[in-house]
Amino acid sequence: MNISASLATLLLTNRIVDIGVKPLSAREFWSVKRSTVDVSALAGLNAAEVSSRFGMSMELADRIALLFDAAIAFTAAREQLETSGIRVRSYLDPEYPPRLSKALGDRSPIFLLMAGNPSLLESTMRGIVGSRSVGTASMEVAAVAARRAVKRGDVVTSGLARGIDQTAMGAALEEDVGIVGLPTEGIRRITQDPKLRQLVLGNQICLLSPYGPDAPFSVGNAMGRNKLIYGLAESTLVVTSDLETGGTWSGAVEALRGRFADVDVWLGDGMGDGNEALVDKGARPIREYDELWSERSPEAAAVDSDAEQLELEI
Amino acid sequence: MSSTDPALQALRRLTGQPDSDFRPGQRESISALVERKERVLVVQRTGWGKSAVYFIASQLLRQQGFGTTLIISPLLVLMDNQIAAAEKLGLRALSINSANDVTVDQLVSSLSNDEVDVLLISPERLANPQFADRVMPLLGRKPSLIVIDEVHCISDWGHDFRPDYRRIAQMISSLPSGIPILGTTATANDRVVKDVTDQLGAVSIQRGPLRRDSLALSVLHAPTRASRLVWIDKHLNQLSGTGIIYCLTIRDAEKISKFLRDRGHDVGTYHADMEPSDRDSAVQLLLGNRVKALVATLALGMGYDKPDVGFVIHYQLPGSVITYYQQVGRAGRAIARADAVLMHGEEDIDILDYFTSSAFPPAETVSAILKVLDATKGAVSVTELCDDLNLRESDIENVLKHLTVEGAVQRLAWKKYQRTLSPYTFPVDRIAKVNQSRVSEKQQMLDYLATTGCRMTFLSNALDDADRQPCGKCDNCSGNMLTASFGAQEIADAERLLRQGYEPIIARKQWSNRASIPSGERCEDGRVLSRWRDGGFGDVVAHAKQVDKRFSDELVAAVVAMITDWRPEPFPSWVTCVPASSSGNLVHDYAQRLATALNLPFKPIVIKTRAVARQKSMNNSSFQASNVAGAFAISSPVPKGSVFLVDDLVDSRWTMTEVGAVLRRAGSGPVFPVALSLTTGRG
Repeated sequence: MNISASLATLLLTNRIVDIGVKPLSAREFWSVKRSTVDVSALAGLNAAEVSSRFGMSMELADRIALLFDAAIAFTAAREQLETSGIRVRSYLDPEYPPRLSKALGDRSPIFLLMAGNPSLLESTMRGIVGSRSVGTASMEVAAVAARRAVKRGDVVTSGLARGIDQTAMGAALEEDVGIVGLPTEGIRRITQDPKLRQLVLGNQICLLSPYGPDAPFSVGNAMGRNKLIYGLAESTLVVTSDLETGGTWSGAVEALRGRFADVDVWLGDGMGDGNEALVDKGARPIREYDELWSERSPEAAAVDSDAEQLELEI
Repeated sequence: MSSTDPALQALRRLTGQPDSDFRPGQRESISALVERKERVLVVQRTGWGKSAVYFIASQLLRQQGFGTTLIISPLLVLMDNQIAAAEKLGLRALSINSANDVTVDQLVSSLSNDEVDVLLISPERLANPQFADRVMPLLGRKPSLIVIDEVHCISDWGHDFRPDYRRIAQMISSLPSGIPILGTTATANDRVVKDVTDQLGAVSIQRGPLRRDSLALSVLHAPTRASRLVWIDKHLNQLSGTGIIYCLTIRDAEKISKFLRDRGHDVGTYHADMEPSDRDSAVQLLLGNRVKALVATLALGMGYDKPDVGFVIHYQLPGSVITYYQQVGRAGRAIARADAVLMHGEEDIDILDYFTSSAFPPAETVSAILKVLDATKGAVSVTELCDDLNLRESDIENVLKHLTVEGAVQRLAWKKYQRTLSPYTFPVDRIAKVNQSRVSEKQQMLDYLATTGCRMTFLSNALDDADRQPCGKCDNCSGNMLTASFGAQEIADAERLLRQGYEPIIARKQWSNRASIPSGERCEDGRVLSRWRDGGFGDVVAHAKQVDKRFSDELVAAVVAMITDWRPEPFPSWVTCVPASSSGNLVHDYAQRLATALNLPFKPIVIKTRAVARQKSMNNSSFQASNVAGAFAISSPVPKGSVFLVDDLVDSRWTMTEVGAVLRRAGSGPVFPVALSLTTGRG
């Protein structure tokens, strides 16, 4: 079987059709990739060959062989998705946002489902995140932050949740520009909503998802997609966060600890209970509207592999 | 002489002959598929043996551990002899289609237990949600042979481009190499071959001569239906063996069959409006030579496998020379001579133009339906669309099919559709291109009719076939031209038989909200004299309504004859009519004369209580029903006894249902609807 590395990758990590074999998790995939360098070399081999040539357990080798075998089932399911406007892309494909790989490395999703306008991913993105139930003061901040980002020519990126996400996205759309959305539910599921569907059809949004097209809401998925927002964006503003609890908090902390994103946090009217604590964790405080999206001074930059090196050496 | 070649051994098991050998190209195709797992295009005439290739390849691939072979074909069912052939190789073959009993559950179970070696599906099946969600994941678990029959359908340069095939082509082009794929066709010229090769990524092409030397081609110019029927009646018994009479419409198929049977010929009928089991029986009659001919529409297409078809008569022009060749090319395989007669009638071009113009739904209709889908959260059912939009249900379904193939809409479950995320624009350019192709194909067909050179050479040229020699057998080569001049009496008799086409009007038993109509308010089954523009009385009625503005005494006499034949019980003692609509006094005047001819009192006591829009402008049941609901009342006391309820046209039957109920509630006896023409249904 002669197969591209990208298709091989998708077959191994397939989430779009259930063929009775568990697809490789991210961790398993990267481990396999380390031993094979080019995963397409595994295609067409039987389990024994996979196991002996690349030193894998028979159980894993079995799964790999069966996953490659299912090329027809996968292709049929993929063709159906692509025809309906949902594209399936591995991290090797040109459409996959390079910024994501760069920021998240091994933690970046191996494949993405995408719908809508991919050219929005080429601009500088600004994340705006926060809680679902918020007062008018917080929403005002989200709206201003969105407008300021738009004014700079940046693309507002958020999670499509009620509250801060939708306020920010709505404010950007009012300025007649496009946005990037990372839903927690599967793309096909969430676009049953006519308004969201129209945004996709009108090329006003790019939706990205590392989950299956019909995935239901889950707390795990909600958390999982948070890091994509941080990874895609040049910097992300936390408008409201709870203290030590909730999705916004965990997302921000994960990004700060992992050092894969620049995190700003609002410290003005409408801020959340956990905002100040995030500053202690390394988030940059924003106290005035004029500070929004400002350049960071070199020492303040968190995403910097050199900086990480320095830390280790010390 | 035995052989160590497993493919040859398999061939000999298949044919039951110990010394069978492969025809040129068969062994090469099998090798390419089985040994090299390549993509092969086979362009060979019917009878060359493509099923031998894919059955043998399936068996050998299964032995290698490959999965279930998938055959995609417009054929409805696996022919019995194909299933028997597969069995000779120990292959378990199954087809799933809307006609047979195999359920998705059964198929899923069989596939899970790996009990199916070959599965045949129609191209539309791939888009079926149950199939896509439950069967394909099982079917596609292992690499397997994929066979695409009539593969020329993926080319929009072809005469028979089918949108469902486009998605097949897309899927195939995304598959990695190493999965053997076989495309087969018996009708493709160079342009189509190139297009298909490109789309499939075909590595090798097996191409053989498509020309069939046993065919004797002729043409008959006979403008009227009556003259063509008389010709067939006179010549059918002179043609040897059994054969097929092709026509363009279901109505014509029914009329031709009835005419020939009335004249003592043994013929079967085949068209899309028949029960699948009846269609199967018809094919069996043909295969068993138990009828002289099968009268068929395009639906017969590829649906039979008979090596000794003795003749093919075309009652009307097909849309293209290649379609013509496809239909006659199935004749004369295993016999020395087969006759092909092509007739050209005055109605052909109109019918073909109608097919062309209705191939794509109109832009406004697509737009209206898309608008509803755009605004809906989740999915919409066809019923909901009928309620919202004044469009025929079949038109709505056609639009949805078009939108599904274009990717704008996805079918979720039975008759439920959802807007996808794929942008849609009405394919103006593509439609223009297809329409242009239809125009040039039609012209080529007329050129074939007009040619004075060898007809077989003409067809060979159209197919880019290698051999272009004159055949010596066609009417032009031999000089034996066919004529259709007959006596006036013969023609008149034929025309009379053509007109006897009255049908029942089945009474509605439910209101449009599905509530049952009480039996005391229902109409009885009625009678309608003709179908609109059916070539018989339907033409007379149309002319009367549109030009003369009067229904002639001839029509009155025909209705009296129909009633005499019908003898409804209890025989009505009075006559009434549906009140005047936009057609003015036509119905009233005609009903009065009819009553006089029947010697019954005429009591026009049904009146309208409000304005009613032309029923003709109401396009689906929902709209038709509400247009007339509560619109009628009775103006004077109702006579006792059963009654003839007279109208000129009947379509949805809602008007008659409404008026009948009103009459019954007012005390009338049973109501028997009588109409001149039925305007609903397919052409």
